[in-house]
Amino acid sequence: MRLDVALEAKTYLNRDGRTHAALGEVAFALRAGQVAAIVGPSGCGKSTLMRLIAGLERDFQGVITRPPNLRLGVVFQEPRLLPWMSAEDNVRLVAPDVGDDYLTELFERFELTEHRRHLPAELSLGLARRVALARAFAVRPELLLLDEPFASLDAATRGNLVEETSTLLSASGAATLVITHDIDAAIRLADVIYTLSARPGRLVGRLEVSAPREALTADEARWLTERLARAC
Amino acid sequence: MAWRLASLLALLAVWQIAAVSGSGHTLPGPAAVAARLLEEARSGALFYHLGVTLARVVAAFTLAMALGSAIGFAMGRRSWADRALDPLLILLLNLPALVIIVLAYIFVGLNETAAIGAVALNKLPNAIVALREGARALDSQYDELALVYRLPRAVRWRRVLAPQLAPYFAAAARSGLSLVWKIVLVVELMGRSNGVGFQMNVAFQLFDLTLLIAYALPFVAVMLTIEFLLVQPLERRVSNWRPRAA
Repeated sequence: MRLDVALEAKTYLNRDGRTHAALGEVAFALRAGQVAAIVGPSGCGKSTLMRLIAGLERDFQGVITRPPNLRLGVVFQEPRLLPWMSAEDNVRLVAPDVGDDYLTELFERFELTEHRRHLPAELSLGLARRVALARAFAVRPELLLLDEPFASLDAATRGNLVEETSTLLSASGAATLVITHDIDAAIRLADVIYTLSARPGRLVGRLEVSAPREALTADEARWLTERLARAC
Repeated sequence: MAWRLASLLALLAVWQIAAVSGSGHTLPGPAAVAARLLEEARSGALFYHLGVTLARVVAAFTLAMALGSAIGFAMGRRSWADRALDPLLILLLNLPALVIIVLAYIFVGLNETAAIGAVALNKLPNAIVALREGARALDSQYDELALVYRLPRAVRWRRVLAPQLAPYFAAAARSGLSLVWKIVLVVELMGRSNGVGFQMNVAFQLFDLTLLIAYALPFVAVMLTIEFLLVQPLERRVSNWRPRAA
């Protein structure tokens, strides 16, 4: 599996008929087993980029190539659980062939075991996000797209979730793209971090994260902070 | 429950008083109506006419809901379909039931097709409007979910679209049933030789109020039973995933 992104521009037509650019030049590649994070200021087009890669929008300049009939796992910014189905049924809907053992493991990892039969309305946002993560892993994705999967969670929950996600990512072998403005999570999960400029987002930096991931070196930290500051 | 029973008993009492205090061919009392009802039931006539009317209600209702759902869904999803059909929909919504019935009997003939078709045509626009709203309210986020996870078309229909449309369908069914059974009686009165509506016409010609009420009451009872035992539970079932209002 290899994803190649060579985006030149993505523009939208405003209500007043004027076009405005959401994304500029973005080029990178991602292969199986690799985790890339995209960080950038709010509104720089991170989520738009994910929608293009997911195939939800096809009107753009440039080329995005990925294998046909790719098994895709997506976690949207909001959990997007179908409210008329239990947590477990939401997962089984997209992964009808998922084995019971793997499902049980996913629910245990994300601390969802006691919530399997609960409807989304009965779950907190944090729990719903975890179901969305479990759903994405349940399809055994070849390409996994995570859009702010840890947003608006308290620090402890986020820490655990990042940890479990990291373990599952290493085991899954999926090519993974994490979109986030959470630098800590990006460092913890990604092999490589790309920074986007402010709107229209262009790729302005690339940083390889080397093990151990617990902390950045002083140089790396300064580099990332500078990039982000410049981008904003 | 006690209050409902009390209100029904009060109605019976008022009816009895009105019957006793009247004169000439005025209102028959509850006892007279009950006796006539039993008589009609024993002869089998009551069940025959009720059965015929119910069959027409079911046929017209099914036809209107099926057609109306398909057309409404298409109008809600495709703007060209909406633009093309909206004027016709408005026309149909504003056409008096009587006009449709008379036209149907004139053009199709005094037969079952015309009767059921006219009733269905009266209900059709309401079903279209409800399902069009339902289709417009479909959440595109779930469409995207179905797309990225490549859900098969049948699964998408059954598990993603149908649950979103179900509350609109249930609301249309509920209002539709009460509309259909009222119009079926008019259609029968004007052009059929059986059914509760036909019996109403006979009762009217003979000025037989006892007969009229003896048919009206069980018919209303049957429709209320359908409403309480079938339509309302169904409506609750399709929307029970919604958070309860506090």
